Amino acid sequence: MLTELIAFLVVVTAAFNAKIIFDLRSRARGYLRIVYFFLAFSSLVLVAQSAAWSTQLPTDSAIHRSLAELSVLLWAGSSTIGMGCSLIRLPGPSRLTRVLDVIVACLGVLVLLWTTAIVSTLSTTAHSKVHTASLIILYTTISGCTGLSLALSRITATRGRPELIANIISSLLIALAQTLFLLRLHQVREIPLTVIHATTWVGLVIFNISCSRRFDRFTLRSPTRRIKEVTGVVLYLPLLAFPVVAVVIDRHSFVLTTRNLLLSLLVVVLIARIRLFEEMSHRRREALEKRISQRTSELAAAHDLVLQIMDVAEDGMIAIDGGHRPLLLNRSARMILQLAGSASTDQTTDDPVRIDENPILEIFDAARESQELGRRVQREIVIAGRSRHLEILVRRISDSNEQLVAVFRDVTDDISLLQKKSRFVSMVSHEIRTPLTSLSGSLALVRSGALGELPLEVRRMIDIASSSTDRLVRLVNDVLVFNRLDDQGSDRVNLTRTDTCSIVREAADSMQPLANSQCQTIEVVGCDGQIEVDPDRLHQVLINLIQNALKFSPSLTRVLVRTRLVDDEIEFEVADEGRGIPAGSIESVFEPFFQVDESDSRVYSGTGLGLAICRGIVERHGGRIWAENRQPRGVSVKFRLPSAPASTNSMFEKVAS
Amino acid sequence: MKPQHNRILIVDDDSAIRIVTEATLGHLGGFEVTTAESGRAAVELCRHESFDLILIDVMMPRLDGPATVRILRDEGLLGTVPFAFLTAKVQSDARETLLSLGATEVIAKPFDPTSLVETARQLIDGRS
Repeated sequence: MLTELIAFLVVVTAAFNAKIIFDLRSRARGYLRIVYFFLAFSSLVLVAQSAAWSTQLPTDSAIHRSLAELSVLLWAGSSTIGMGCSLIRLPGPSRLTRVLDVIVACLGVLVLLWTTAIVSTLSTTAHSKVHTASLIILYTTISGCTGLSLALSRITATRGRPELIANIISSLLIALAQTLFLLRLHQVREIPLTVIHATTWVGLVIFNISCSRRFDRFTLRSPTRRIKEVTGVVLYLPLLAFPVVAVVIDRHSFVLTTRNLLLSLLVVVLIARIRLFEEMSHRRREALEKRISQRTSELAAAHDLVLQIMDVAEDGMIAIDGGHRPLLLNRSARMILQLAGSASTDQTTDDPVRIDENPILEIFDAARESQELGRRVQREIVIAGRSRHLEILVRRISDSNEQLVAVFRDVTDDISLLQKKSRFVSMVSHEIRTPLTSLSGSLALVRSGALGELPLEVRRMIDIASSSTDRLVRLVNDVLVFNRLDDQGSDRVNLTRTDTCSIVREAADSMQPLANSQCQTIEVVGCDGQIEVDPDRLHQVLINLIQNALKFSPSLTRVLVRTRLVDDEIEFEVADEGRGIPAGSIESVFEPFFQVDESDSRVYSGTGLGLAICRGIVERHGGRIWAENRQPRGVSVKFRLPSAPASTNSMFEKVAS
Repeated sequence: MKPQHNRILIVDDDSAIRIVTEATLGHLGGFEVTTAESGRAAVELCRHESFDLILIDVMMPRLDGPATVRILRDEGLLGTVPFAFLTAKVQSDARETLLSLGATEVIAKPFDPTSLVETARQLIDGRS
């Protein structure tokens, strides 16, 4: 009963070993495949042998005895070749071990030849004592050489040492069991079958463990996977109880043998299935992990690239979240704002740069509250005790959240340069005014006749000089006005609540003499409402536009000055019935010194700055100006200014009434 | 007998301006014009003579217009005599500053001779 149980265990374990070794073989390359083949084959021989001998051993039949010998020799030969070859494949440290490895391999071949010899003489019934002795000697030599070679070649190696020791012990144990088996077979000693099987089984288990370790190194890396593997095997352990019960019920040896074999195969197949499944899911997970890590590194690389590009940018960039924590801060931003701390552009770290004290936050807050989001504005802030001008654009990162990004540059130097230029222009213009004063004054005095009558020719020349001087004076005046408009900050508009109507009428009235002299009419249409403007400036715009309209229109035409409310803005329009502007130039008329026709500058004696000044003033008021051609003829110049808020408007009216 | 001419003092460091202004006011306006080429000379003149109107340039080397006015006032030489600044600066804020010094008018350069005469007449009439 115990014998049968142990024999069954031997069958299962050996079959399991064979499976593991086959698995290893499928992984191995080239030469190692042969090694594993022989090792697996020897295990299968053990399966067959143990299955056959798990019942009472019939020793009376010569055929049976020969078959038993055959199995022993097949096992010895194939396992020896496998061992020997694997040792040759991994040469040991000394020449002696290498020689021994070759001897072991040769012995394995010899044993296989011997097996062939036995097969050929299978019918021979006579078995001499010599025959038995030679078998035993041969077998002992083989196992001794194998163990010695293994011991010598690998015992000193630190790597894989426990595994090798396990290999040696298992080989020696199985070899011992086989020797005992031979002794019993040839009736030299009556050795209990239980002992033989037990020895074999212990050897196999040790081998199995060492092989599993190697197998694990191929597939199972994490401890949890190892645990799963063990539990997988443990789950199938109850199956082992089944053959035990079967043995108790039916003691017929043949049936038992067959059933044992089938059951063991079933167990092995099941275990193999589990292993396969584990293996596949493991590979799948490994591939997935590999892809994830690859993607992660790609993303990280892309992220780094973006950060590097941002660091190269000359503009400062800061992104913050709703709680004023910086998300991103590039190198230029750190330099412009003089921020100390983490030098990383990516600020989503544990230690972000603190910007709580920095004036840039005020700009963020102001932009969030006002309409400055998405508009490029200039702001003056004090950084480290120095006043700096920043040109800054604040935007939301996306529509839904509180995250803002600011792109800015330090324009302090540009502004000081502009101011220098502006001061220079202003100085030159002033310097020109002084001689112009005496020039125009003396010419006027001469022309007045107070110094005596002039000959006609002289008077003509004096008239030309005088009108040229006037033009020069206008030019200098316009240059000064334009320069001030161009110079940000130096010239501010003084907003006053003004009645639109009166300002338009005033401008129209003051141009009436010019209109009369050219037989033209000025018509004022629909003006009303309040507007917050610098009245002098608006007056100047209207004067310039009306003057232009009169200048470029023939006699007996009409200049229309219209005012109307469009949405929250007041639109002013000055329209003439002149020759219009070529479509290609309609955008350019507001450029300084632009003339539609080069000859105009002589005929119409303008300074070329009138419309540019108009645009400057309108834009200073937060408005816009444009020109369009009218049908069938003429030009209409329109500009819109924000009207005064309605509530204060009505309040004003109440007070007025 | 010739009627008593109104006396005008013109203070300007630029000789051309002095000559043209003197000629304009003299010939066109019939005023009796005296000129001074610096603030110092103007102060010296005022110590000995009296004028009905003083036209004074703002930008002059050493002693500029406003400083000269201050000295005249401190020495009690100005009295109720109206004075006007002549300036090449036309910005409104500059104008406000000059008017706050007590000037009756700020005349921008370059000026039209006819209107200068008219302005001078108005300033003198306004005083009397």
